[in-house]
Formats: sequence, C-alpha cells, structure tokens
Amino acid sequence: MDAKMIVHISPNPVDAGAEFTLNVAIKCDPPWDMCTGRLSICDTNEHEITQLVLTEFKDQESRGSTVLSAPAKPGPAKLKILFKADHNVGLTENMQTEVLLVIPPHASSVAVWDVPPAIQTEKEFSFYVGLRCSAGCALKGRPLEVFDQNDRIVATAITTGTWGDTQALHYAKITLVAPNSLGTYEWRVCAPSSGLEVPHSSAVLKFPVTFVREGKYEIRINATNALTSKVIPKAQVVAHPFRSITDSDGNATLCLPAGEYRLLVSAADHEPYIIEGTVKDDMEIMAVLVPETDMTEIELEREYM
Amino acid sequence: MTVIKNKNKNRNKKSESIGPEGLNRRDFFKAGAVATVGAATLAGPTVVNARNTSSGEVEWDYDVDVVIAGGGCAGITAAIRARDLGKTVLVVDQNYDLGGRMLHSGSFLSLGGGDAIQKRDMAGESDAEGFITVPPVMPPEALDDNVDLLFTDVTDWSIVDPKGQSPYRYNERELMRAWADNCPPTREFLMENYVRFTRVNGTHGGGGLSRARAPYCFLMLGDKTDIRAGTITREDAGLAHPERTSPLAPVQMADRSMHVGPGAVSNGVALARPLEFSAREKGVQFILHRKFTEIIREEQFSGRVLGLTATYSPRHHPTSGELLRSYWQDGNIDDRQPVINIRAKAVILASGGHAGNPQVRSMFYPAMREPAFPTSGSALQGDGGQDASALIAGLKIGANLAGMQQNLSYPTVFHISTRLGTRDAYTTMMPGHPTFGFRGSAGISVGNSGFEEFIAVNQVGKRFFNEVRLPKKPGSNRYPGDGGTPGKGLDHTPLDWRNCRHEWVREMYSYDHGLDAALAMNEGSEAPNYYSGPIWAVMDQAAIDRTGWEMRYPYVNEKNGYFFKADTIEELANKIHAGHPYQRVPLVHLSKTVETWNGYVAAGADPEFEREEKPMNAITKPPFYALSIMVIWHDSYGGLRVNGRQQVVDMQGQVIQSLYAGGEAVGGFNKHGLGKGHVHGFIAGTQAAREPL
Repeated sequence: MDAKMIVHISPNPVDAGAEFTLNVAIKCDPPWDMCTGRLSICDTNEHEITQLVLTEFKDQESRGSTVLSAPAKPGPAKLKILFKADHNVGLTENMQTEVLLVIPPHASSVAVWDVPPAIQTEKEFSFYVGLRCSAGCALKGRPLEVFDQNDRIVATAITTGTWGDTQALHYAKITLVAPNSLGTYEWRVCAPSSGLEVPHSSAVLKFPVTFVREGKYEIRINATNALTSKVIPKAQVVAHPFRSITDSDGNATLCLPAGEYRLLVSAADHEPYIIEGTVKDDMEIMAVLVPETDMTEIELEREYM
Repeated sequence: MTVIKNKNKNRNKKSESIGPEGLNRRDFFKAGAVATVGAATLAGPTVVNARNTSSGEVEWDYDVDVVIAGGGCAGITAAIRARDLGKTVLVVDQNYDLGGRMLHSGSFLSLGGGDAIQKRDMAGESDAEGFITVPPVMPPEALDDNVDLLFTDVTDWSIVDPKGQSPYRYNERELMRAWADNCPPTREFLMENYVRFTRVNGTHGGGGLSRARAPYCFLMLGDKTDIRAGTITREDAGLAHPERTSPLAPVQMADRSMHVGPGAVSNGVALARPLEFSAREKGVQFILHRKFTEIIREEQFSGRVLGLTATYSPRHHPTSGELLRSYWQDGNIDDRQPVINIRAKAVILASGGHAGNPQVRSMFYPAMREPAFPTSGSALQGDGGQDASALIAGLKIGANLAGMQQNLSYPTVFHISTRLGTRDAYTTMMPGHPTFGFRGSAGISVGNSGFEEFIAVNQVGKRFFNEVRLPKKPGSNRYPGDGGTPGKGLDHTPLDWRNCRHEWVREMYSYDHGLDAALAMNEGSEAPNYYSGPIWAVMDQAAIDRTGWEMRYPYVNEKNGYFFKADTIEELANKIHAGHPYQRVPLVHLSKTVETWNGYVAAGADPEFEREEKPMNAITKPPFYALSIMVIWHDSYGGLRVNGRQQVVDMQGQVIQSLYAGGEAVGGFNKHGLGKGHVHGFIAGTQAAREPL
C-alpha cells in the first residue's frame, strides 16, 4: 500500500498577518479511509503551530483543512506538515512535506466614516479616519492627511488607538469648518508610507462630502402600518441628502432648506412610501406603509418546505 | 511513499440486526431460498456492473424481496408499504441517518382528491386522538374535492405563473392519474403509520389551484418523546433553547397551535421520524453510509433487473472525524465493505433527484455547474445527497427520461436565498444536531427587505444587479392562487383560455431575473466551465446598528468561510479570497465598487442599477462584513420516466421489469414537495410487492 500527501495553500502569495487556508489530502493506493488522523503543522523552527484533523473521505482521499495566519515578516516562509505513524488509522510510518509561503511587503488601507450626509456650509463638522496594516502592525502616531476636491490639504491628524470592534484600525477624529460651497465633492484621505521600520505601502481613499444650505423648515414624519395602523419604529426617512430614522413612536424630523424633494420612507417587510413635493413651510406627513406583497420569510418557508 | 499494513482493518464488522421480526444477513439468504451464502447461482446470463466471479456470475451479499435505494420521503413510504404486504425489505441510504430531505422539510403535505383530512375538516371534526381543538381553517367548499378535479388541476394546460412558466402543462398524464387516484389512500396510509395532520390550510406548489389540499404534520409537546402517543419533548423538538436544536430534529419545530391547538409543533420531524419509527417497528432493515451506484440487470438493455450495487460512503463528524451514527439503531446492518451487491425481486429507486450534482443539473442551466451553489440540506445529507444516482444508473441500462424541461417551470427550483452567511442556506439548523458542523453557522435570515442594507457583489467584487430586486421570487400557482391566474380561490376556473391570454400574462408577469444575473458568466471566469463564482453581501457596522442582525455564533462563524469581518474593505477582500473554498480569484474591484457606491449614495442616484427606489446606505463604518449570498438548487423535476405503477420505462416505451422509481428520481411531475414522494412510494411499494418470484 502506498500513500502520498497532497498540500494546497490559498492564497499564496499572502499578505503579512493575513489568513490563508491550508488543505491537506492523503491519497492511498488502494483507497483507505484515514479520517480522525491528526497532522502536525510546524513552522521553520519545528514548533507546532496547530494540528489538522482529517475529517472527510471523498474521491478516495482523506482530507482536512485549517485556516492560519501568515507571519508578519515579509519574505519566504516555510511550513512543515508531519503525519506521524498512527496504527489507529493504518499509518505505519511517518509522512511529512514542506510548503513555501510568499509574503509581500505590508499593505496599508484607510477608512473614512461618520461623515454627515448633509453638512451645512460654514458650520463645524466631524468625521473619523482610520489606518490599518495588513499584518496588524501598531500604527498609532501615524499621520493622515485630508485633501479637498482641489487637492488642498484641509486637515491633518495623528492616529490614536484602535477603533471600536476592529482588530488593528488606528483612528483619528477630524474636525473642520465646512467651506461656503454648495454641492457634492470628492475628497480623499492619504496615509504616507515613509517613516516606518518595516516597509509599508501608502494608502489613499476617496470619499464624498455634501454641503447644503441651512435647513429652515421642519418636516415631521409619522410612519404607520397600512393594515394595522401601528407605528413603525426604525423606518428610514430620506429626503436626499437629508436622512433620519423613526423613533419608537414612529416619528422622525428633518430640517430642510426650501426646495423640491422626493421623500422616501422605508421599513423592513414594507413597501416604501414615496411622495414628491415642494418644501416651503413646516409640514407634517403621515407615511402609511403597505406590508410587502412579495413572500415574507414565513411564506417562503411554507412555499419551499 | 509509505506502506500501510493491516489492509483488512476496514473490513466490515458484521453485526446481527436487532428488532422485532428482524432478519439478519444469514436470514436474508434463507428467505431468498435461491442463492447460497456468498455466491450467486445465476447460470447463463452475463451480469454487468457487478462484482463477478471468475465464471462471470455475480457475488451477492444480500438477497431480499425488495431493495430500496434511499431512505427519504418516497423510500420509507415504499418500504413500509412493501413490508405491510409481507415482503422482506432492505433500504440503503448514502447518509448516516434516515429521512432524506423530508426530515428538514416544513411538512406541508399536499394530497387531496377528497382525502381523509379534507373530509374531516369539511365535517368540522377533530382528529381521532382529540389533539385538534381549533375549528377548520378552510371553508367546506374549499375542501370539497375529488380525484377527477385533482387530476384536472395537475394537468391544466392553461396555467401560467408570474415567471411566465407553465407548471402543469407538461405533467405526464398517466402519472398524474395514478397520483390523483392514490392521494386518498396514501393519506390514510400515512395516518396509519403515526403521522398526524393539522387542519388543512392551503395547497403546496404544484398541487393545483382549485381546492385546499395541504395540512402540516404535527406532534404535541409533552414530557417524553413517544411516537406512538404523538408527543415530543421540548428538547427533542429543538425548542428548549432558541439557539439549539437536537439530534432528533435538525430544524427547530414550529409552533402550530393555530392549526391544531396549544402545544402543537410541526415540521418534517413530525413526518419523517414517525415513518421511520414505524418502518423499524415493522422490521424494515437498513444499511446506512451506503451509496447506491449501479443497477444490476440480466443484460445491459434487456431482461429483468436483478438487484443493485452500493458502495460504502461513510460520513464522519466534521471535527472529531468519528463515524456518525443514526438516531435509532434497530434494524441497522453495519456493513463497511467497500462494495456490496444486493439481490432483490424488485428494486425501487428513491435516492432523490439531481439538485446536488452540478454536472447533471447543468444540462438544464449550464451556469449551475458551479459547485459553490449547493442543493438544500447539504449539511444534513452530505455530498451524496441528491446526486443524480438514480438518473445516472437508470440511463446506463436504457431507462427513458421525462420532464427534463420542468426544472425551469417551478419558480423555486433554483433561487437566491435570503439567509446569508451559511452554505446550507435553505434551513435554519442550529447547533445540537450532529450535522451542524458541516455548515458551521445557522445563517442570518434578512428577508427580501434586508437586501436594501448592503450591496451584492460578484466574485471579482463588482455589483451586478439591483440588490432590492435580487431575491424576489414569484409564487408557484396553487390554491388560493399567487397572482398567476385571474381568478383566485374558488373563483379560479380550470382549463380556461383566459388564464393564459397574453394580455393577462403581460399584466401579471413579475420576475426580475436577478438570479440569472447572479449566475452570469463574469469577469474572472475561465474556460471550460466559466464558473459564475460566489456572491457576497457587503455591509458595514452602521448596517448592523440599523438592523440589529446578530453577527455572532451560531448565526455566523468566522471559521466556516461564509462570513468575514475586517477592519477595512481591502482586508475584507483578502479574507474572502483566503477563506472561502470557491473564491477562485481575488476581489480586485471591491474597494473601487464600495467607493463608487458611496458616491452614488451621496448623489442620491444609482445610474447602474436604479437602487434609489429604496433608501441607499453608504458603506463606510468599520468593521466591515461580508456574508455569502447563496444560490440554492432545491429540488429537481426532471428524471426517470415511469408509468402509473411507478415502473421505470425504457427508450422504446417498454417497462424495465422489476425496476421502480419514485420521488425526485422521477420526472414528468411538476409538484413541489412531499405529496409527490409519498404517493410514489405508496404505489411503488404496492407494485413491487406484487413482483413475481
């Protein structure tokens, strides 16, 4: 009886610190089910990183897979896969092989969030920017620059700790005064690559900003279900570019400049409520939403099962 | 190269079967009264595709009256029926447990023709055990049915559905007549085998438009699980904890008090487990982990069928690698030989359809050769489920096919699921069932409306359709009507040209073809297969804050390759490429796509796909998420051609003696779900028992 080990890694090259999948198959001639067999995955220093269990016997191969993280250091890295003799699965001699990982220089990426959808001109506004290395390098204290549509630097910031539920996204808060220009523009945030001991790529992200006039008129929206008359909380209310969400009483308020608008009120499992008109005074709008006529999840289950 | 010793280690550990009137392996040969142990005595004819002795004879491992390939809806029914008629019955199933897809179904069992449950509800009566305390849900006139009306409904040429397809026009007439005639006796047969039915409350897809014909199957919550008594514990029903199910019930049972009374629960467990219990009680024998592969016939294209070949197809626990065991054991034969031959006077193929075989199903839709998109219940049944085994084996001996175009005329054969973040997106299995590990997550059910909370991208990270229209599916034309006919409920007129006149069809057509866009040959595909590749729902933390979706185990799992969370879009793209088994190319366009999308949101218009019909939300707030959007091929409607006795028919229109088929193995019947399989099984079991010795 002969056996051979087949190993596949995806992806390869893999970013420093990024995840990759290691797939191992043992093919025997004649076919032999080696499920429950355990393989040892070791680094170049022969330290065991993890164990891989063969759990599937398919196409005459005993197979298993695991997800690992690539080393942080760019360059080639070896993995050794060792299958020790195990009489329980019929293996009488050790099997082993080596595979080579290719790790390129660290990649950087940036994020921009909580930019208000409608920013009143000449008023102060804030948003967040973040920087991350593919290997999870600590990038606290790194500079970030914000450019406007004319390539002028409008803000700079230094990254601090990690944001919220992220692993390694170092963030900064940007606060600045909106220019006296109406409309939507494309700005960008840049993270230069210089000044780091381990080589990193630079990063840039474009993002839109929309500047509007002061909203003078209060539009109060109440969302209800057309069949039950019950209020609808958490419905999205959009009069582009202004947005809000209904509260527990189904109420939301928009503060709009005068002009033509298309009001869209949308809630889960309901058809959207749409109305168009001119805003030139305070208004109250009763948005009555019809439940979706397409199959609900309950009907889908009944339909399919 | 490594030498392995003890090559006989995996030889079968033969255990005698246990159970009332159960037949052990040796007894099978005694009962057969023809073959001697371990050798066939077939002098003369050459048998193909079997393990032959040096003289060309087949070595038989078992000899039995009826062998059935498949222990699901049709197979179990046929097994019980044949056993009732005094036959020795052996069922082989590729899975580790019985029930097939019936076990994870909703148990909405549509028969009709004036069956016992319709009559019960028409009379306003309760069930014999007094469980039902609610009044009938349907008015008497909606239940006033007969087999002629049922037959008319399921052969109605005039029905066109909102997808522009004709669900009843191409049904095989002889098959439909036999099915309609046998609906009432099948209903009674199921009731005699511990299946309990709720109030009738509609009709299932493909079951006709004129009357209400479908109840659910139910059990009552109680202190112990007792199939005879009709009770099940909360634990066994998967209801003791909202995030747990049980080894008995792969899907948590649903509250069915509305159609029974307080304490009633339903789904496929209330159908599959009672039937399995009855089968074991009556002495049906089973060999599990055993995949049917070949039909053994006297000659390849002539003569009677003599038996079948089945290979060992073990399913191992996904974490420990241990061999999985069925919930109940009595009647099981533990046979681990690589290949066995089973001789029988009648062979019934009930091994399911081809929905799980990408190569076979691609004959109907080439894009569905994509293995990234599974059949339903892929975790429960494994890779051997719905693998076209009956179709493939039947063709090898000259069987004809039927209804091969009907895969396109049922609206949910293949569809986009609104359950994200799991491969087995058809059902809501929770941890607690042994096969949960094969999927690793329950998935998040977002509904149609949830698709406005994210963008959907293809394998290279580009949007390809209006997301809010992507999951929408038309109805399937059954009582009281889903918009495909001008008359609803009792106002529907069968066989009426006005049901399909083009003015009406134009008015009611409502399919957007999002599924087809998802399956498109797209950038990154390569010859010869041009795989479509997986599709992803990409969203940010703000979407989670808006919706409250639970991005945690067991709903999603960062280790199963169908859910990813990352600090940036670039990292998200890398994780998907690294972690998803079918992500063959990198999502090189994802960052640009998100950037462009955010620009559309700021502009209030989506020039590519007109998403502004619903609110558009920017994707900016970290962390970012990607959940799989699955295309599911649920069931198949093309298959072997059979006559009204479920006998398989060849390309010359001749019956292949001793060969029967039922359920999704059969074509020419565009009916979704359980009603088809059970009646087929009833007929096949009855006819197989009449095979001459």
